Amino acid sequence: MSERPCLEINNLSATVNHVGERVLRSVSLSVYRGEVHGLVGESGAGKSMIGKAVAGLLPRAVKIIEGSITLEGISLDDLDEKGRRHFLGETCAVIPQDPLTSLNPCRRIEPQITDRLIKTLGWKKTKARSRALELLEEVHIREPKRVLRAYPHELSGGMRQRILIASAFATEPKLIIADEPTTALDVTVQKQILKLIKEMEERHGTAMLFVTHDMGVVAKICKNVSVLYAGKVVEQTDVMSLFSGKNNHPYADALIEATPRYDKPDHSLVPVDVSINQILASEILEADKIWKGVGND
Amino acid sequence: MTNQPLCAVSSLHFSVPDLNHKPLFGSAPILEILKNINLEIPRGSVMGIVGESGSGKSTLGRCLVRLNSPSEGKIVFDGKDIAFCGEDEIRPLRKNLQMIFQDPMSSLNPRRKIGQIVASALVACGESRAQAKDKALFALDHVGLSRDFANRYPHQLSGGQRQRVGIARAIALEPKFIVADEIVSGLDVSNQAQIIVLLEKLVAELDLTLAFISHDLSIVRRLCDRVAVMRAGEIVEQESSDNIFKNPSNEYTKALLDAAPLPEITPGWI
Repeated sequence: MSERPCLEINNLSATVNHVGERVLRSVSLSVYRGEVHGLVGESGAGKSMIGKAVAGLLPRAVKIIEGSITLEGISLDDLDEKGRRHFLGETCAVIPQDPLTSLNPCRRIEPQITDRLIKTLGWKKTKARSRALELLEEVHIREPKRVLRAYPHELSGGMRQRILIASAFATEPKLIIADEPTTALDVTVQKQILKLIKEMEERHGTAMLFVTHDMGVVAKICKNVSVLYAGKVVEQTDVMSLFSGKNNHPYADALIEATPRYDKPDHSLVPVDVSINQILASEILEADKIWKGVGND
Repeated sequence: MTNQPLCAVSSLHFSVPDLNHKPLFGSAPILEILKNINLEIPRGSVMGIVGESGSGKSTLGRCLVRLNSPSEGKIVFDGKDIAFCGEDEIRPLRKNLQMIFQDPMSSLNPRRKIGQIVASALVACGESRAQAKDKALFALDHVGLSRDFANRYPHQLSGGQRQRVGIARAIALEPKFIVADEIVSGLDVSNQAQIIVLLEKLVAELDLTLAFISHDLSIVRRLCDRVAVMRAGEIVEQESSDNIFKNPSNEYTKALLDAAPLPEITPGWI
């Protein structure tokens, strides 16, 4: 493709405190404009870690030891701390998992959306407010004026998640990292929120990194997908071929089989087989051997 | 006696005063959480209770084990109406009415070891300490946790393992009836699958009767014999599992089924 990818991650590895095993094992992926890239895996697979590495939100103990992250053609390594923060603040936003803990309970909704506009983009307060109203309308919140004055506890889970989506899109970022945005919601609200994310993503032409453990959600919203196990990408493909069920890594198929579905109860909620875990373990061992060999040269 | 359902709920109401709209003087208006619930859970069956958040499914679950006291109606458990009996009367029955909670981290005491957590329920029911310890280890075995887990603390366990401890605590007492309140919604898919398979095994082995509360119809399908769909405090549809998934009659059930994302490409779903 001649077009430049919005986000390009190349050979990214990370460890905890420079010792022991890698938590990310040579991850490479690229996301283009207007495309949703799914990161799927079990808990502990490092899927959120990739999102955090891009947004510069890694916990202190986790160190990136090799590889590069390029966002909109600019390598994040080339920027100093301050420049990186400013650049990320403008071009990248996060939709967090838990809408309850991600909003400050002591502040009204309005400043929580407009803060970024005022601080990062240097907007005037009145302009920021009208933009916030516009955004709330865009995410289909009724009575946006009342909601701007409300505190988080006055709103339902779905409403709060809508507000976080609105504030993620506020600065017109080039890349959005959605970290399990629907896990805390029930199925009916989940559908509404997925619909909303898709709609916003198409309208704004944003690239999106979508972290989830649910293959059902992947099938509905993503274009491409990386399946992760222990920080290693074991399968990277587009969703069409993933769900056609041919030439997949057995682990990807096992995750699809583990997903609950009401129409085929015998082919749902099947735990991942031990033999597949063995295959994965040996693959990881192999990858680590090669990596160490390269490192010693 | 054995043909009778283990738990039969008839015209159950649950209401609380709505303190958000309490006038300065006078009593607060009444907010009805559960309206006229009728439900029968046969012995040895698994009953699914499904609905969106706020539909009252957890409140109903808590009423079934009498953690909430209903305001009207009957809950006949094992031939005895427990809807309004006092704490002294219900205490001997508690052994048979167990609950597994949604969030395993907040339902396990962070300062106590797993073995103590499971054994304390047994001690409270009058077992000696040594006996309680044996039974606790046995229960941990049953849910697939090895014996060294008894000496660990909850924070040292993964989410799936913690939920297994919750299950072990419930089955350690060999209860007749367990309410499982959204026990897999905090887990990832492969852990979900493992827990559901474990529950299937336990129901068959221990002759349990289970009320399984969930918002996801896809999970309920695999496990439950009958399903009750709740909306805004009422049961809108109650059917055998096969029927409800093949020919849902209620519009709301159809909407719930439609909202469950299946792992396959369906253009136009969103």
